[in-house]
Amino acid sequence: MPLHYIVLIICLLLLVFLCRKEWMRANRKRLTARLLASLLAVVSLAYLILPIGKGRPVTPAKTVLQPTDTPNGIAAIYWPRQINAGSALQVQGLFNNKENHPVKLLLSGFNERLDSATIPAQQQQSFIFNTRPKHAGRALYSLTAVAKDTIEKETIPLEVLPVKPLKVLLLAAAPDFEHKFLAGWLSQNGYMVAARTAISKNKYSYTYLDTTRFPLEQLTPALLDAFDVLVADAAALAALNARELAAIRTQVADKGLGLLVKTDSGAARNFYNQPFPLTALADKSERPVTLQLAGTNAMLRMEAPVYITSTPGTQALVTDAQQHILAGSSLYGSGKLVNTTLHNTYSWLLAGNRESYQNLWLLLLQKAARTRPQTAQWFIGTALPRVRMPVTLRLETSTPQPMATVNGARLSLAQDAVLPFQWQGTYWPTQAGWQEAVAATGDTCHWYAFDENAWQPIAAREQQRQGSITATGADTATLPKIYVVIVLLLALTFLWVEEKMV
Amino acid sequence: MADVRYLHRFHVLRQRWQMYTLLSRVLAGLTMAVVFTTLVYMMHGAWWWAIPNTILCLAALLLPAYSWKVTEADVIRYFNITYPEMEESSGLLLKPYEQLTFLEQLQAQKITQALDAIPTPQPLKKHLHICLLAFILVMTVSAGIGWWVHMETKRAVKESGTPQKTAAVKENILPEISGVTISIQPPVYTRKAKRQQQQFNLEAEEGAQLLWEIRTNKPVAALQLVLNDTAWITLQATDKTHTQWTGRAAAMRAGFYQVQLDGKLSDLYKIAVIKDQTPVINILTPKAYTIIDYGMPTRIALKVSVADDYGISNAHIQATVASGSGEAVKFKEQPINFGESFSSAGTQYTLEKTIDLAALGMQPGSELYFYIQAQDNHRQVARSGMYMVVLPDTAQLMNIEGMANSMNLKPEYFRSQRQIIIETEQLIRDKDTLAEKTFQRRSNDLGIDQRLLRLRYGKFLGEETENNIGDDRLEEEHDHDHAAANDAKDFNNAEKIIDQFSHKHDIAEDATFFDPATKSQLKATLTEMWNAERELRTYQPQAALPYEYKALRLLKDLQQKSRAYVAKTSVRTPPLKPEKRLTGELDKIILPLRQQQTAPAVTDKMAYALAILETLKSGSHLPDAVSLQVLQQAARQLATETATAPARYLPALQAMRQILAALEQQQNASPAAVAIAEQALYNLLPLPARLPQAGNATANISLSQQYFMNLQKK
Repeated sequence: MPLHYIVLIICLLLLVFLCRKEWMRANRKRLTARLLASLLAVVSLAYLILPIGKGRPVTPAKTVLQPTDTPNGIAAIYWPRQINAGSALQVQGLFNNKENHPVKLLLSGFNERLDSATIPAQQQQSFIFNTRPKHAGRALYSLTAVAKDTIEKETIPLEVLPVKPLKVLLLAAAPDFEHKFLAGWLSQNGYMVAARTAISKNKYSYTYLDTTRFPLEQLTPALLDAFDVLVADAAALAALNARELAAIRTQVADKGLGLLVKTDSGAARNFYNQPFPLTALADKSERPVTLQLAGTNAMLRMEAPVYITSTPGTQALVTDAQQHILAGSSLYGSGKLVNTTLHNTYSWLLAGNRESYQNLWLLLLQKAARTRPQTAQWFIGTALPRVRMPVTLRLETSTPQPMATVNGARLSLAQDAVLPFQWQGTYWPTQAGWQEAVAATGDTCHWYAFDENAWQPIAAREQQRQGSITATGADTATLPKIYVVIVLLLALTFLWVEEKMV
Repeated sequence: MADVRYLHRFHVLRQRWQMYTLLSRVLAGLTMAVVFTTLVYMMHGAWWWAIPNTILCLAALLLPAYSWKVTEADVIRYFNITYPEMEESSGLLLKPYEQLTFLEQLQAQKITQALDAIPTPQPLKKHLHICLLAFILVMTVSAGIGWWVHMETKRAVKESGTPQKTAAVKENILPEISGVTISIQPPVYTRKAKRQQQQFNLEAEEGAQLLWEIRTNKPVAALQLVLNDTAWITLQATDKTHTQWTGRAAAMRAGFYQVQLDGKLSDLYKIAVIKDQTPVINILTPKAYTIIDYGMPTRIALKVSVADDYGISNAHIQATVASGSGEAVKFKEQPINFGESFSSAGTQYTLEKTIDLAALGMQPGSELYFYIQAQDNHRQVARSGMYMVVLPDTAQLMNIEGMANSMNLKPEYFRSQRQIIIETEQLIRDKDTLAEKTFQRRSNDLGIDQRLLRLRYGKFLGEETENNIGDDRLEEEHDHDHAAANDAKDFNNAEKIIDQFSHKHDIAEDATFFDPATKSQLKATLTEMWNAERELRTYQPQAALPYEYKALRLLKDLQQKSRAYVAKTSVRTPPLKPEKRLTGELDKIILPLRQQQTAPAVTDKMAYALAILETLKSGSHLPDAVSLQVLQQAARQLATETATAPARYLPALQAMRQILAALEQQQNASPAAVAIAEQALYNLLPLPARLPQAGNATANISLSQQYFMNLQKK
C-alpha cells in the first residue's frame, strides 16, 4: 500500500478522534472554532507529510495544453560537451527574467570570471558567452545568475580534447616562402611535416620536421598512407610521373587522403583541379583584398588575383568581399580536394598577423584532412542527463556484438533496426558527476550527469511541454511548507490556549 | 459613607486590572507580530510585513468582544476567589447600604473590616511581567535571526557574484618557533633608520641587511632558511640551550623563503624588494626645439624639476655647442652647473638657470644641444632628453645659391622678402641721418611692400585680394562697374549675367594648389608678414626685423621641402667564372637535407595540471602517480614564477604545496587550496593556439562502404 493512503487514513482517524473529543467536552463554548482548528491542524499535518504536487501521476486524458508560462531563470542552454584544444567554448542560452531588477549572468571557471551578460528586468533575452579554455581534459565551469542574491547556479561540464597532430606532406616545384612558413608553423605546433622541394631538374631538397628521415624520392602508396594531408602546388603535381600521380589519385579516392593544391591559372587540368575552373583578372595591379574566412575578415595584398569559378559540387571556403572564391573544396571519392589560389599568405606572418594565418590554414587543412578512424563512437541521447533519471546512450561501432560498460556496470545494448552499426541503451546514473562509458574495444567516453536540482527552469519547461499541465488542478504551484507549518502551529496554539481560557 | 470608599477602591482596582490586561494583550500581540515578521523575513527577506502583521495580531487579540475589558463583577469575583476572609460576599459592598437586608448589612460590616486588612491586590502583575519578558526575549532572538539572515544573504551574494579572490595566506609558523624578530637595516642611500618586525613576511629596500632572530620553545639541532628553494642560510645558535638562533642575509632580489627546522619545512614567506628609482627629470622651459631669430635676446631661461625617491646628490647641464657648417662643424662640450648645493640631498628640486648663448661662444648658425643629468644617493644616473637651441644664420638665408639651382618654384617672392630685409636694415642704419618724416615715409613704404608680398602669397591660399588702403600703386582690379565688352554672343549667357551682379570673393580653386602641410606653413609665413607689416607701419623697423627673418626662413624651408637627398652607393659583384657557366652539369649539386625536432612546450603540462586539479575538487578519488608528477612539475613552474613575483603567486605556491603534501599522504586536498592554485595556474597559462584537427569517423561500417562502392560504380 502506498504511503499516501496510510498517511491519509491515519490522519482521518486522528481527525475523527480529535473532533469527537472536542464534541464530547462539557463546555460547548467556541465549539465551531475548536472543530475548525482541529481540522486545519490535521490537514496541514497531512500536507506536511505527503509530497503533494510533486511527481503525482496525471492521467493523459485530462491533459490540455495551456499557453506555457516560462519559468524565471535560464530557459534554454546549449554548449558543446567536447571541444578540441585551442578552439573557443561558446555557451548560448536564453534567460527569462521575470524579476523587477536586471539579472547578471556570469560564466566563471577556475575561480576566474570569464564572461558576463546582463538581462534587463522583465525581459526574455538570449545570451552568448565566449571563452578560450586553457586547460586540457575535463573541467567544470559554472554559470551563475545573480540579482539581489543568486537566482540560479548551474554547472557547465566541458572536456577539452588534446590536439592530435596531423601528418603533412609538402611537395613544391620551387623553394618559396609560402611552403617554408607553412612547414615552420606546423612543426612549431608539433605537427609532423615532410617536404620535398624541387631545386633543379631531378634535384630535390628534403625537409623532415618532427619526424625521422625516410625516402621521399618516389611517392608510393605506402608512403602516402602515412600522411593525413598532401599539400602541393600545381606545378609540382604536374611534374610527377604517371605512377606517382596514380598513387596519389588512388589514395585520395579510396583511402581518404586530403589533397590541398595551390593552383594557378597556368596549371594543366587534371583530376585534382578539375572541379575548380579558374578565371584571372585582366587587371594585374597589386591591390588589398579583404578575405572572409570562417566569420572573420582579413586583409591581404595580392597581385593579379585568380578566382575559382563556382561549380556544382564544390564548396567555397575563402571568398573576398565581392564573393569571388579564392579557396574551395570538393569531394573526390572518399577523400577531399581543396584548391586555393592564395600564394602569399606568409606575408601575414611577416606582418605579425598570426591570427589570420592560423584561421586560413586551420580552415584549409581541417577541411582536407583525412578523417580519423574510430572503432567506436558514443552519443549521449539526453540533452541534460540527470541523476536517477534515464539517459539514452547510443554507440556507433562496426563490432558485431559490442559490449559496453558505464561506470563499470554492464550496459545492455539494443541494435537499431535500420542502421545495423547503431546500438542503443539506457543508463540510470546513480551519482551526479562525470560518468565513464567504455565500449569493450577501448576508448573511454566521459559524460556528465547533473544534479536533480540542476537546470530547474528548463526541466519545468520540459515538463510543461510534455503536457503535464492539467485543466483541473494547478498542482505545480506548491505552497511553501513554512506557511503550512504556521497554520499548524496557530491551530495547535489555539487549541491549547482555548482550554486554558475561562 | 464607608461604602463609597470601598466603591472607589473597587473602581481603582478594576481600572488597574484593565490596564494590565490591555498592556499584556498588546505585548502578547506585539510578540506574535515579531515572531511572524521574523518568519516572513526568513522566507522572503522583506521587512515591510511588520506593519500588517502588527495590525493583524493586535486586532486579533484586542478586538473580539473587548476581551481586555474588566467589569466590576470580575473584581468582585476575584475578591471572592482570592480572599477567603471576604466570605464570598464582596458583592454586597457594591450595593447601596440602604437596600441591603439586615443580615446583609451585618455581613457587609463584617467584611468591610476584613477588607481593610487586605492590602491592595496586584492582580495579573505576574502575567504582565511574563508578557514583557517574552516580548523582550522574542525581540532579541528575532533581531539575532534577522542579522544572521542578512549577513547570510550578503555572503551568498558575494560568493555567487564574485568568484573568491585569492585570499592572502595567513602567516603560519612552525609550532616549535615561539617568536621571531627580523631587523632590517636599510642601505645608507635610503637614509632610513633600522627597523624591526615580528613577522616572517618581509619587505625591504634593495641591498638592505636582514637579521633573523628566531626563538624556539625547545632545543633545536639545526635551523636553516631556504631561499627561493635554491639557497640555504644556516642560522647560528646563540645560547647553550639551542633555543635562540640568528642569521643574516642581504635583500638583493625578491622571492620567498621557508624556515627549515630539523628538516621540517615551514610555510612560504615572501621577501619583497623595494628598488631604488632613478631620478625623474622634467624640463619645464624651454621647448625641445627652440629657434632664436635674429634680433631676439640670445639667452634662454632654463627651468627644470628633478625628483628622486631617496635623494638627489648632483645635477648639472651637459651642453654641446656645434658651430660651422658642412665638414667644418666643430663641437664644444661643456658642463654647466646649476649653482645649487645638493648637500642636503632633498628628494625634490626645482632648478633655474639662465644660459647666455653669447658667453658659450655661439654665433649665428651655431646650435646648442643640451641635456640634464642627475644623480641620486645610490649613484644612479638619469638623463633627460636632448634639447636644442638654434641661432639661425641670416647670411645663409640671403644666399642666392639655393635659388639659382634647377628647382626654383617661387624665386620672385623670396627675393622680395630678402629685399625687404635688406632695405629694413639699411633704413635702421640710416635712421640717424634721415629726417623723421623721410624715415617714417620709407618705413611705411616698406610696410606697403611687405603687404603686397603678403597679398601675393595669400592668393595661393585662395584669399581674397583686397584694396590697399593708402597705396595708389596698387591698381583697382576689383571695380564693380563690370563694364565688360557687350558681345552679341553673350546675349543669352546666364553666367555672364550672373557675373555682372555677383561679387566674387575667395576663389575656391586657388585654395587647392597645395597640400595641407604646405598651406599651414604658408599661413604661418603670412602671419609673420602681418606682424612685420604692423611694425613697419608703426615706424619701428627694428622690431619688424625678427618677423621678417622668420618669414624668410619659413619661405626658405618651403622651398627646400621639394628636394630629396640620395646618397651615393656602390655594389660589388663577385667575378664570374665563364668556364662554368651554362654547362648544365648538376652532378656536383648535393641534395640539401634538413631535419629538426621541436620540444613540446612546458605549458602543455600545466594545462593537464589544471584538469587534474579540477578532478581533485570533486574529491572522489586520488590521482595516480603520473598525475601527481604533472602536479609536481606545475608546482616547480609556479615556484620559478613566484621567485619573480612573490606577492602575486606566493599564496598559490603555498596552496599547491599543501595539495601535494596532502596527496602524498593519501588525503584529499582542501577545496580552498585547490581553488587558489587553479586560479594562479589559469592565469599563468597562455591562450592555446588554434590548430587544424582531423574529424572523426567510425571505421569499417560496411553499410557506408557498400553505399560508397555503389556510388563509385555509377
